[in-house]
Amino acid sequence: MMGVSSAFLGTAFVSYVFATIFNVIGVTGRKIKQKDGKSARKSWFTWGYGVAVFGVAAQAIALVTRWIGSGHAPVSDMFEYMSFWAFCIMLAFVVISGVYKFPVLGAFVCPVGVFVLAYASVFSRTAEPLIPALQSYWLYIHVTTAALGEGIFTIGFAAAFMYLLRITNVQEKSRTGKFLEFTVFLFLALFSYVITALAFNAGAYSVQDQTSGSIYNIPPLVGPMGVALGSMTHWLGMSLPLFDVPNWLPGAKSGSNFNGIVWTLIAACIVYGILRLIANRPLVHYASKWVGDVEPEMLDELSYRAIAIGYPIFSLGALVFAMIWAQEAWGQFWSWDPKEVWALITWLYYTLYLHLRLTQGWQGKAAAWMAVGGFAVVLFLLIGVNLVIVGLHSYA
Amino acid sequence: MSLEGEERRRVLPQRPITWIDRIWNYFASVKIAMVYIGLIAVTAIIGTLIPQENTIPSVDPATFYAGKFGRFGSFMFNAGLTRMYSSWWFLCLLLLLAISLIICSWERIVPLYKSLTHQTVKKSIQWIRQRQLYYGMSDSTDEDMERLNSSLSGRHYKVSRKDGALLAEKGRFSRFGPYIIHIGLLLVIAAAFSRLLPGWFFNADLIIDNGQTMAVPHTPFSIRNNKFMMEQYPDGRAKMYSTDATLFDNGKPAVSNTITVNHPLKYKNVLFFQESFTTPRFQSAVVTLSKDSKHSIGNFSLDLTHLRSTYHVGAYTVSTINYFPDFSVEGSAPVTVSPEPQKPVFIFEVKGPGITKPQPQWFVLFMPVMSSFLSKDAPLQFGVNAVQMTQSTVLRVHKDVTVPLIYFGALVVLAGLATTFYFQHRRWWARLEDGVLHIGCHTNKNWFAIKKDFEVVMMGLGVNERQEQGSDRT
Amino acid sequence: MIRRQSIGVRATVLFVFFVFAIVLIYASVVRFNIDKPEIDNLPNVGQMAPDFTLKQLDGTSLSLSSLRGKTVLLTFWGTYSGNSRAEISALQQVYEKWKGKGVVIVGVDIGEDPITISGFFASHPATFPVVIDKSRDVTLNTYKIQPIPATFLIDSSGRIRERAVEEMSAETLDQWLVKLGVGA
Repeated sequence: MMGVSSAFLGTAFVSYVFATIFNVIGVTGRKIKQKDGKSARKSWFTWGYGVAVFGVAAQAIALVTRWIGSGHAPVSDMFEYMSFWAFCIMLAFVVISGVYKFPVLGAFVCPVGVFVLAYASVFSRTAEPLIPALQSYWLYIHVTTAALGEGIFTIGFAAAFMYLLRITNVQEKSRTGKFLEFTVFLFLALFSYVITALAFNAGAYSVQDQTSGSIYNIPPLVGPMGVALGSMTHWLGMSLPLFDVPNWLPGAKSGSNFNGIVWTLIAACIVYGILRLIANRPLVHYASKWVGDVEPEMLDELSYRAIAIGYPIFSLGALVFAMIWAQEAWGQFWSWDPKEVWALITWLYYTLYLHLRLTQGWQGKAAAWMAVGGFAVVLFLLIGVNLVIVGLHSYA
Repeated sequence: MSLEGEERRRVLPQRPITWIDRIWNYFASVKIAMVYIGLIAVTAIIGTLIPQENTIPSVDPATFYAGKFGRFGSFMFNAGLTRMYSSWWFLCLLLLLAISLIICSWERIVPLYKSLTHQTVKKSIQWIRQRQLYYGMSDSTDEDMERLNSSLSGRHYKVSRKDGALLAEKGRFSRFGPYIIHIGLLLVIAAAFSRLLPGWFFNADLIIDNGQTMAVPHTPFSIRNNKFMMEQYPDGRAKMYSTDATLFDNGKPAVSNTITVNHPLKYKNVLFFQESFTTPRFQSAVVTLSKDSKHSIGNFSLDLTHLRSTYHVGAYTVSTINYFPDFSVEGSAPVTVSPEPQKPVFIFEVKGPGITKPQPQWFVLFMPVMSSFLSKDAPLQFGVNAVQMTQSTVLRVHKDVTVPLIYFGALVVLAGLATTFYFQHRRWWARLEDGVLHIGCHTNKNWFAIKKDFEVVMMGLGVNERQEQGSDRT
Repeated sequence: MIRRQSIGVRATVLFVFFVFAIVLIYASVVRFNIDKPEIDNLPNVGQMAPDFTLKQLDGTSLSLSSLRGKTVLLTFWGTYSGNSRAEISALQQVYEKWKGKGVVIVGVDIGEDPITISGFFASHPATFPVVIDKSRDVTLNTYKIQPIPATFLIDSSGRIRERAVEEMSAETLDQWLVKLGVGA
C-alpha cells in the first residue's frame, strides 16, 4: 500500500513538473507558434491546467493510500505535512483558476507547488508510527485545515508577486526591482537546498555526532568540532567540520540545521551567480515578460480575494482547531509555545494586511508587497520555527 | 464604505473637545489599533527568539540563562524578557488592544446601523450614474421597471419601492461581520483574563508511583495510581501509555478509570491528563554472592526503596558502605547526579569466613559485568539474578472553567469571519425618468459576483451590451 | 446627522475600562506572582522560618523550633548537586569556627538514602546535624525550594535574616554571621 502511495506521489510530482513546464511555455511561447498565435498559447495553458488537475487527483490517491497503509492521516511529520501543503497549493490553484480563468497564474503557482513537494522529499519518507500525543483526530482536522488556509495564502502570494512584476519597470534600476530580484534569489535558494539535500541523500551521505545524536545528511561545513564524527568527514580533500557550531543556538539539532542554512546560502549564490552570468541581466526581466499582458487590477483583486478567502480557513485551522487539539491532548489550549505563537503572529500579520487594505486604502503595490511578505511569514511558521526554534511542537 | 461615510462625517461640533474626547478619538483610530496589533506581533516574535522560561529544560532559570548566554542572559532574565507573555507590559498591550477594539467598533457600528436602516430609496439620477456598475436603458417603460423588480426578487434581493424608484438589497448582515469578529475577540480576551478568578484555573503535575495515593492540590481530592502501563514500538518509542487510577473525593472513592493520552479523567470540572512518565528506574534486585562461577554462596534481596546497612548471606555479612543511585564520574571522583536509581552503584564490604582483610568492593547493579571486572581480585563476586524496574506516571491535573467561554468566543469570531468574507452586501438602485431606466449597483466586496449578477439581470431585460465604470471596489 | 456621545458616556466607558484593566494587571502580576521567577516563592528575609521535624542520619528526630535560642544556618542540599558537594567543606569550616558561639548548621538533604549521605561524609567529613527530607515535602511545599543549594540564616528568635540560592563560600557565611552580631 505504501508502495502504491509512493507511485502515485511520484506521478503527481511529475505531473506538477509538466504543469509548470507547459504553463511556462505558455507564457513565454508567444514567439514560438506565431502563426497560430493566441490559440497555440491557449492550448499550452489548457494542457498545463489539465495536467495539474491530473496531478492533484494522483496526489489525492497517494494521500488516501498512505493513510490506509500507515494507519494514520498523512499529516504527522515534516514529509507528510509538506506534501499535504503542496497538495493544498495545487488544489487551491486548480479551483481558483477554474473560477477566475487565470492561465498565467499557473506559471507562478505550479513552480511553488513543485518546490514545496520537492522540499518535502528531503525529509524521511518512512511512515513512523505516531507517538501518543499525536493519536487524535483533532490532529488531522487542525493540520489539514491549516494547510488549506496556507495553500490559499500561497495563491495570494503568487498573484501579488505577478502584480509587482507587472507594474514594475524592471528595466530601470529601482528598489522594487532589487527586492523582486531578491525574491527570485530566495526561490533559487529553496531550489538549491532541495537539489543539494537530494543529491547527498542519493549518495547516502551520513555523519552522526555521537554526543548530541544529531545526524548530518550533508557534509558538515559547520559542525561540532572536537567530536568524533566517523569516516565521511573527509570531503573534497578538506577535513570537516571547518567551523564550529555557534553555542548560542538552542537545541540538539541546531548544528545540522545551521549547517543546512549555510549550505543553502552557498548553493543559492552559486546557482544564482551562474544564471545571472548566462542571462547577463537581472533574472526578473524574464519573469516580468511573462506577465506582460495581464491586467494588473485583476491580479491585485485576485491576490486580495485569495487572502480574504484563506483568512477564515487559516484562523479556523491554525488557531481554533489547534487550541481544541492542545486542550484535548495536553489540557492547555494555549501555552505560548513558539509554534503556537508564530501561528498567532501569522494571523496578526494577515489581520494587518486586511485592515490596511480595507480601511486605509492600501491597494496595489503596498498591499502586494505585504502579501509577498506574508508568504515569508508562513514559510517561517512552517519551516523556520522547527529549524531555528525548539519547542514541544517540533515534530511537525 | 464611502456611501455611508458622507452621512457619518457630517458631525456638528455640539460641544468643545475636551481631553476625554482626545483620549476617545485616540482609541477610535484604526491606525492606532493597527499599531497595537503590530506591537503585539513584534513582541511575540521576540518572545519566540528568546527562549522563555516555560520551554527551557532547567528548573533553575537564573543559572540557566547566565550559563548559556552569559551577561546578556542574566540581563534578559532580570528584565523579565524570559517570562514575557505573563509580564505586565505585555498584558497592557493586550488590554490596550481590547479598549481599542471596543471604542473603534462602537464608533462605527452605531452610524452603520443607523444609515443602513434608514436608506433613501429614491436617489438622484446623477448619483446612480456614478455607481460601480451603471446602465441607462433607453425607451423604457414602467413595465421594464417591474421586470427589473421581479428579476431582482427572483435573485433573492429584498426590493423596496418609493415614488417609482427602486432599491434592491442583499446580504446587509455581512456589513456587521467585522463587529461580530471584534466582539468575539473581546470575549476570548475576557475569558482568558477570567482565569484570575479564584478557583477557576489551575495546573499541576503529579508524579505518582505504582500503588501510591497523592493529594490533589487546591481540591479535596486524592488520586491513586493503581497501575501504570506502557506499550512500546519495536524501536523503543512509546506507542501508548496509560494509568489505571482511582480518584477519591474527601477520602471516599469517586471514580475509577483508565487515563490514556488524549483521554483524560474528568470529575467535577477537574481533568486528569496522562501527561508523560518517568524513565524506568530500579526498584529491587536479587543479588547473588559466589566464589566463582561454580561455587555460589547465596543471595539476598536488595530493595532500593529500603536499603539496609547490612545483609546476611549464609555465613557472610555484606555491609553497605556507599550508594550512588545515579552513578557518574566527575573529575576522577565517583558521584551521583540524581537521587533516582537510574544507574545504581554500590560499595559493599564483605566480611566472613576466609576473608582476612575485608575490602570495599564495587557493585554496579545496572551493569553487572562491570562489577566482575572491577572486583576480579576480590575473594567473592556479586552477581544479579533478577531485577525489578518501576516507573511513575506523570499526570497533569487541570481545572479550567474558562475553556467553554474561550470556545464560545472563538465560535463568535469564526461566525464573524464567515459573515465578513464569505458574504457581500449588494445593492441596486433604479429610476425611471423621461423614458430612460437608470440602473446602478454597488457591492462592498466580491466585485466578480456582482458583475455576474449584473450581466444576468441585464440579459434578462434584453440588453446585450453593457457599460461599466468600475474603480471604487475593494 | 451623528452626534458625538456625551462626555459623560465617554468618560464613564474610559474610566470603567481603565479601572478594570488596572485591577486585572494588579491581580495577575502581584497577587498571583505570575510575573515573578520561581525563586521568589521561597520564604523571605524578615519572615519567620517555617518549622519542620525531620529524621537525622542516626534515626533521631530534629525540629527547627527546638533550636530556638541558637543562630541557625539552614541549608538545603544533595550529594547529586555539584555546588552542594563543593559547599560542604565550607559549611564544616564555618561550623567548627562558630559552634562555640551558639551557631548550629542544619543540612537538609533532599530525597536521598542515609547510606549515600554517610558514604559521602566518609570522604567529606561533616559534624553538623543533617536531616533527611525523603519525601521532599518540606523542601517543595513548606520552603518551596527549586534550585539548590539554598541557604538561610535564621536568628535566635527564629526569623530569617539572610537567604541565598547559590553556592556559599566560607567567607560569605562568616560575613553573614559577623553582620548579625553573633558572639559579639
